[in-house]
Amino acid sequence: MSEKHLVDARGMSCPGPITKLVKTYRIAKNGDIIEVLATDPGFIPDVKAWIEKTGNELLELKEEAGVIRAVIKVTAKK
Amino acid sequence: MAKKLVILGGGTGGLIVANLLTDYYETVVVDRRKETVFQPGQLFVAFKGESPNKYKKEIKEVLNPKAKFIQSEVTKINLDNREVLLVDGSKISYDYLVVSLGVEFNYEMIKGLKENFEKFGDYYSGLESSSKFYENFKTLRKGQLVITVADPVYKCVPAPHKGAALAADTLRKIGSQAKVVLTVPFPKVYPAEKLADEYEKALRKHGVEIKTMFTLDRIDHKEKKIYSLEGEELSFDLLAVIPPHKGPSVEVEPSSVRDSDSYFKVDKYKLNIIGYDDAFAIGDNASLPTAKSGVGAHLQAEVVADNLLGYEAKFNGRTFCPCISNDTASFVISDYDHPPVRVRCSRFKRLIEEVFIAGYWSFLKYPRIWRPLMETMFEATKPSVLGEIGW
Amino acid sequence: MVEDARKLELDEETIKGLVTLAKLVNKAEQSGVLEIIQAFLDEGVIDKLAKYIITPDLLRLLDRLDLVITAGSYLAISMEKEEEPKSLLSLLNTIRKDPEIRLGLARLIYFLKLLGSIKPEEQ
Repeated sequence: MSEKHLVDARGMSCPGPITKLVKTYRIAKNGDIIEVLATDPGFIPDVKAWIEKTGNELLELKEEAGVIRAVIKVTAKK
Repeated sequence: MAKKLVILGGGTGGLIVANLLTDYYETVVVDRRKETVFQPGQLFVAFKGESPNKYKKEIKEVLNPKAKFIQSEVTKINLDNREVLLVDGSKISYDYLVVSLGVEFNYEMIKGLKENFEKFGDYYSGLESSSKFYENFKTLRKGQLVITVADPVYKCVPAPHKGAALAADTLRKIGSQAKVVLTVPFPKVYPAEKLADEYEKALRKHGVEIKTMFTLDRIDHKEKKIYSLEGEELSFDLLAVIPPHKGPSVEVEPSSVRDSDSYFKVDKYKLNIIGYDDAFAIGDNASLPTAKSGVGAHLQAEVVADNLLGYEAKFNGRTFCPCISNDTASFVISDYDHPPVRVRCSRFKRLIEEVFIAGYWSFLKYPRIWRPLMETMFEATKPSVLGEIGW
Repeated sequence: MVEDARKLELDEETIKGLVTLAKLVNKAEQSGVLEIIQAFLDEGVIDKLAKYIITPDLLRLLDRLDLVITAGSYLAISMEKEEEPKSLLSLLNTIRKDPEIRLGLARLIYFLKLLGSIKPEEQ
């Protein structure tokens, strides 16, 4: 059963929202969806680097009204 | 008659609230230990072999003598009945409660971590553990010291970097051939855009090897290797793990005030436990969208004290975390509205940190006297004022 | 601390110290210094002074004091230079070829930009 995890990291800047993503990734399983909301602009390059390193799928990366929304499908867990 | 204030935890946050409010409230501080620890000192104990005695003091010595100190473990907090249960079965009722019990460590979360902790110690679990770590560290003549951050939410975000820099310096000083490798679960060595490059440069100058996006999954002591969630492995001869953190293990009613990691859900400005205006949680055991730090606990303590004295005060998420090596320092300066600003590593800042370390016990004991000076310093270095130029 | 005082042994060394201290305090009082110190502490003068002195720019300056001192010493050394450039062309050539001069010029320009950003009426 795949789960959807909502990570609300709005207003977080140090440590950045990437920390909440990594924490959620630990408990996530392949097939799960992780949605992250952030306001720290540093999150955009961070999440891109994270996707490249881990090999998970970035379904969506949008910015609207100052809020960045990243939707990730977990596919790379061993 | 004065109202009763009960403070759980005699660390930085708890003691500062106590020393600010004892003249106005009947104040009780509860802590299971007799002593309070200056936690940054654990770095110096673990990596430089300094004496732990420099970094701890009896709570009675730093607490306002008019406040009452009870050395006991707290087993239960009942927010609706406004009472706290101690391990001997006695109950303490309160008019106001401040919970500042800090964090606990979840060794069980990582396979092999408990064994590693029992074997080597670490520099997070206390002064004794740091001393134990030093005994192992000082004999490392070759191979790799790996400092690994197990989980991305931990107190004192620069502590792994400080540990790596100090470790590298000490190893060089004692003529060891051992290398230091630092692993972090972040995409860059430090999780703040304006600081990552500066800190990476500084660490490389110390000869520290950096591995990013490495989230500790398990430790294999037979193979002497650690494995990451991202699929990588790394050999070690000595392993220092920044353990996974969680909130205090006290029973709380209602349990809904705590999140899934056992931190207390609080209003991020007023610091009151959600749903209660007479109970507050500050310091590391509060769930706040800012770094867990000693300075944070101090500033939060002042906010709670101000509110309990009838002033309107809000916490703004301010951080001022020192990132030090033996010679230089930088500070991680941010708040709720600003990510960390550019702050270069310099000798002058290391001097400031030295002054802070020397003054810590005085800041704890006489917070009111030091407050104007500290406020001036914080105002002069706030992120909106430092701006793009930084410091 | 009161308990410590009670434990205090009035041996000769301690008495000598107390007498010296008493003499110092008397002198400070007679000269008016003691009153000034008391006024400073009472009126929060130190805090007000700190507010005026501890500013972001002073902290930035102090943070780079060693660089400022080096720059100052280089300024002083340059005062002794007595050779003029050979020609405008050789001057331009030097600027083009010498990386340290180019970097120095870039820094001067950055300095000019920062100078130009100061708004006196806000200070």
